[in-house]
Amino acid sequence: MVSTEELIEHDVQLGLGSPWVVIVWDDPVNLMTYVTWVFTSYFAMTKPVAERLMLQVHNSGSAVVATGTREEMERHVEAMHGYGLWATLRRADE
Amino acid sequence: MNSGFVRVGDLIERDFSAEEVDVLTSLAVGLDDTLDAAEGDDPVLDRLLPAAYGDDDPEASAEFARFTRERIAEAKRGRLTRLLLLSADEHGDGSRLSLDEAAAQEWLLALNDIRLALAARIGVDRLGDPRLGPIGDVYDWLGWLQSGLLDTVDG
Repeated sequence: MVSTEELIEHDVQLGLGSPWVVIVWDDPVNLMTYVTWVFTSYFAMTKPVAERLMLQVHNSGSAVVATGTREEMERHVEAMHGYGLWATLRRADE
Repeated sequence: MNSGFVRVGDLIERDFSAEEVDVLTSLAVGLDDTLDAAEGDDPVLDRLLPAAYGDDDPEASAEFARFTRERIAEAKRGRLTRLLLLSADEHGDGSRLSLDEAAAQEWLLALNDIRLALAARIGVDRLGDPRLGPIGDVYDWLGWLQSGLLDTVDG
């Protein structure tokens, strides 16, 4: 039988233990309308959701735009760098 | 002020003057060269290919860069190449740009990269300084152009 400790260890290895997040940082160059467009185009957000997040980036300096496994978040960060948004990933609990 | 982009059926079109084509072409070629080298301490590369893990984990950022840097840079260069088709189409007095939906999206990303690169060269703290002169005018023009294309794509 597999012990609880082993299952937890397995979950952590799979990245299920604690989720990762993608953070988009404020940037004086990217147009507000462009950032909103990227969020609707890439993340398929509705325009109101995308605008709210864009404003959070603009006013607070950053916003969490996605949560999930480390691998998924790395894919999103790669996509964001393709669009020219300043994005990073980190563990959700930090 | 109208940025000149218009919808014509499924296409988005705009007339570019020879001078506008020159400006866009030289910026696109310059950025393409920078991305081709893709190494060294360069504020443009720092901004276009930023550390994925920020300053938190330089090792993970380096690992991420090892797997993705070339792919992201090549995609950016591919979009700049598409943008440079504009100058291939030039006939002395300017060019007529005609974009389908996919090409318009590529243009939006390429224009954004060009603006980011120019801003990194100028220094983001100096953007908006009236003493910048012609380079500041070019930066403002690019923002106006991208904004106009975005409105036309979105509208």
